[in-house]
Amino acid sequence: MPVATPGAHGLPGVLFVLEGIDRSGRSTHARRLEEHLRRAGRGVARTSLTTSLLASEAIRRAKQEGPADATELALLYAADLAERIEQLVLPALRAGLVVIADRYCWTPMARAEVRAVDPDWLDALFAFVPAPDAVLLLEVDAETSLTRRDRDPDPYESGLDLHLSSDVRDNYRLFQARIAACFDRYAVVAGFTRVVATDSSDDVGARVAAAAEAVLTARIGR
Amino acid sequence: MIAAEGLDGSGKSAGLDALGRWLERKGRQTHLVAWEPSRLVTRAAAAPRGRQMLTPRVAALLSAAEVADRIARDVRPQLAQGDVVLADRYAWTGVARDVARGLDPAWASAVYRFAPRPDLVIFHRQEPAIAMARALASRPDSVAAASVAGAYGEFLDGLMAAFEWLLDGSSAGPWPVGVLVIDPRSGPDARTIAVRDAVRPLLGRLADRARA
Repeated sequence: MPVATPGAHGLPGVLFVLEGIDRSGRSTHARRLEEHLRRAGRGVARTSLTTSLLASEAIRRAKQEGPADATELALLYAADLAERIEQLVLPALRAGLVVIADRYCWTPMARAEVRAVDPDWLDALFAFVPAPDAVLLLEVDAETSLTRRDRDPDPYESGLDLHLSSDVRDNYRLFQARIAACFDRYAVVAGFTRVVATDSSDDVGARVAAAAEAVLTARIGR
Repeated sequence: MIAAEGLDGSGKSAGLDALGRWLERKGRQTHLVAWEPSRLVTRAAAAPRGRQMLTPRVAALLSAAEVADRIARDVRPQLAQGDVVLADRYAWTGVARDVARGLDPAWASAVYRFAPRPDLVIFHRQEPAIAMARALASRPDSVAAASVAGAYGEFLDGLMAAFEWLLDGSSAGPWPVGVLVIDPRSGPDARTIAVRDAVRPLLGRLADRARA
């Protein structure tokens, strides 16, 4: 898997990735970070999971058609990421922009790994992705994720196919805890920056901005 | 599981049909799985905007996803119940296509590691020129067809080179696998004998497994 290393992609821009379990505030803080950087006068591009032209629809369909094959979904997520890397991330990095990715390869890897897909294969599959300058892992526990949960979450994303518990809420909590355990491992291997994300959105936003600024200063010197 | 691989017009399908009939006569339940062109890729290529997004890597991953779906439905359950699966083209076809389109051979191989390893690959060697004549036979003759043939010829050469790489290397391909190479000049009887000789020991193993 890629390892977060400032400047490793060799392009003038900077790539930030936000990862975390569901309801950890990834999308909120990806937007907030974008606003913060724009206010500071930086050019920003943002991309998020399943927004590709070619794979997004197939991912939705595979999930709708009942228990989707986890290997098939991992490959579709990889296609989704490959398209966005080729069409958006790399051109933006070449142009010297700051790119914010709301989830990258790790969310799809974790969703497959908790469904018994071989982690070594997932590693090799996602070996094509450029290494981010930093990965900010928004850390909330499964209990917090549960209290923030949508009333009607996506069955695949809440792991209902795994039948971890007969109680839907309990199943959700157990599933998020398993995803969190995967992120814990990735955090060590891939050099994530951990950000406590249980308190107020303003506090978390400030921490995310500070972590990003530190990398920007190291990379671009301003 | 037995997979037949090679270019078009090499006699793969006929050989596999004959093998299937022979296995059925010996009391085996067989399932023939044909490699199909990716619906996602075909649909993407039909729209101008889709074509722009359809790089070799995206196409490789979309088609591999469909292969994974087919394997989950048409291969794994059948192998699990002890039946014989005959694949008319399989993972090597995907890897060779992706390598011919310029992707890194090691990565293209790793992608297909999710596919169950066949007990035998029957590789039908074929001259690219014959494969091309076969592929173009069904298309109308035109000036455009000639230029398509030019580009296609190059692609077939790339495919053939990738297949040779897969045949050659112990480290090449998704998994190490036993291979029987069929020469295009061999007669039908010699082919039948070679295939049956290669398959017979596998059946013994299958019987042992069933007893165990």
